[in-house]
Amino acid sequence: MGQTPEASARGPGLRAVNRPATVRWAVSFTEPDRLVRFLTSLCAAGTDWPRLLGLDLPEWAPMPDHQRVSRIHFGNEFCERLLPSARELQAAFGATSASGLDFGLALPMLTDGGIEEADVLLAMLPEGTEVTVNDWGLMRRLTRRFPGLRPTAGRLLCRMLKEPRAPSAAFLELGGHGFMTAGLERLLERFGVGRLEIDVPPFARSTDLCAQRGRISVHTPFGFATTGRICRIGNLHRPMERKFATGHTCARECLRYWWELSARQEPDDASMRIFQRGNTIFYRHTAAMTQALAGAVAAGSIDRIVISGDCNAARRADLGA
Amino acid sequence: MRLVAPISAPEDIPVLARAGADEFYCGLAPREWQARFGRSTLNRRMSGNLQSFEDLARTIALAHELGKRVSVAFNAQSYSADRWNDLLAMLDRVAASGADAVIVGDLGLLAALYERRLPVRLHLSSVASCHNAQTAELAADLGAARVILPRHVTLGEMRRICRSMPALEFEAFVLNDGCVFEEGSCHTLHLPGPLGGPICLQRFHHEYHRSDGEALRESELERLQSNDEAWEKWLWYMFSCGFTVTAEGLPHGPCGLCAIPQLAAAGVAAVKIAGREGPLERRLKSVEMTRAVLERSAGAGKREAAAFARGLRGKPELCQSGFMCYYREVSPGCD
Repeated sequence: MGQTPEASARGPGLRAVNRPATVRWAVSFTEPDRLVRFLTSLCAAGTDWPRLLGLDLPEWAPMPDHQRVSRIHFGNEFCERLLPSARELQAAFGATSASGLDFGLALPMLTDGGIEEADVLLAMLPEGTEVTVNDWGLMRRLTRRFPGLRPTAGRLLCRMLKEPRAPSAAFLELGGHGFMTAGLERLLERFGVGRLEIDVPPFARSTDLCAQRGRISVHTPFGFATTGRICRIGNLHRPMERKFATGHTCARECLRYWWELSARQEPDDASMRIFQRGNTIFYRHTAAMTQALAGAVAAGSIDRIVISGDCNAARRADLGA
Repeated sequence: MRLVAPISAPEDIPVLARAGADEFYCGLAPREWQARFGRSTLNRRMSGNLQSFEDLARTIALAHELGKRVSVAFNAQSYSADRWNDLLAMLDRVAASGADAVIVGDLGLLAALYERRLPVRLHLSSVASCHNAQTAELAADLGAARVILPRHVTLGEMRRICRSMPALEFEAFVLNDGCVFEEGSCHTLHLPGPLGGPICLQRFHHEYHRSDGEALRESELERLQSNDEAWEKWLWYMFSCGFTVTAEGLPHGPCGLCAIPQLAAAGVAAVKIAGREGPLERRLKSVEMTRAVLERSAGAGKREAAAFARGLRGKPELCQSGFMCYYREVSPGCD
């Protein structure tokens, strides 16, 4: 595959960086067809592009540079069973390059079998392509076997409390995110990681969304609260005696259904919307969390925002299933 | 195979040692730490922790008198920067106290401890989510002597991981306390009941939607409802069959006892009983069950040992369901 516009030599690792003046916008997709439909509509949508994803514009108004999507992230961060095929990767990369956008591949936590599949995909990427890594074993493998690719530490590696049902910040005993410690910083530096992806936790302050070193991407408007290998909907078609076993196969039912979760007692207005898609529970940012994110952007702590392009609780039918 | 049991007080040591435990693990949350940083920030437990270094010293002394090892869990998913120096100082003190190992859930902390060359073994917690041989190799690079495998790893995957790193010890769950999600990737809390309890108990109303925006058909709703009923049943098993025990006090719930011969064949060196916060009686019965199966496994074939394990509770229907199994590959329902 050819190089995307941003592709260049491996990044500098977690050096202190000059803080950015602007923020770049990326959109992530699990499904190649949905990605292609988005790119096809992107030009005509103009600055209204978030509406293609079912997202309202007003909440992005405080953010600078929201007029232009500059990157596509392809792949699922949460499930090995959603690894794309080589053909799907080729199609996603081709469509992204043809649109003049930068391309990144996102990969989930993996078993040894999954790492073998990922090897095939990684071998297809041109040097300098960014790969979002959510598994420490994959991080080791990628940096040894594919030293020309640029690893980004994904949000599964960024551990912090993200309890969407918590009543207060004090209740959570918050202490910042897990990429901030000297131990992890050195480990990330050892792997040449130059960028960190994080979520906005409930009750976040702008100052929580930063790092001493490295560049920061933040996912919005959904954070993930928990994920795992046992998938409720992925067992829809399995016989009773084989349901919910570790390592089960599925028919990718998560791409067909999602479900909203609501507290059994009546939620108040400030409650977060929670939904599940496949093996992962997500929460939608509240206005206060979006404000914290905007504050961090204004402070120059964040230079990239990653918007979920997958079907979700905010979707409209524009892009279809 | 070594039997690793949880303790919450020094006095647990002789009781569980007599029942057949080879090693012990515990949490430590000194009161001064709790006052500064909160109760659960060291090792993810609100209760069941030793409360002082004096308790830790007594625990280690009692265990060493009996020729047993003690590991101390520092298995928070991560530690924030404002606590880092205090944490390292505490770990220095734990190592100096004579603990045999510390259990670490954060690879950054593992790397930092390796650099400090502390006189203590380093064990990588299941919270570190070692699902592949590459992660095990990274753990070894960072000085780990043992890797505790996560709950959701198949026997086949374990075999592959263990064989890739024969110099590492591997430990696997064998009894109690299942997890619905991956504990290393679960960023929620087990909230008090009135706030919803563990998120995985799914005390929610839920409403399905199709991703294409179309309405759900009747046949889809029926299938979804049937799957939900199965899910509820599985959750009941995951949460210790409604936290019940047999008439003899043997705990129900997640269990891999019948897979002990396969775990040994895969290269697993130690089996772990979960449940630091549980009552001593539950932990005692758990150790007795596990020891009995280990002894039977040593002198019998795989099938006989498995049948013995499945017969311990006298409730074959629980095993037959498969939903109580840590290692479904050996479940009788999947034969």
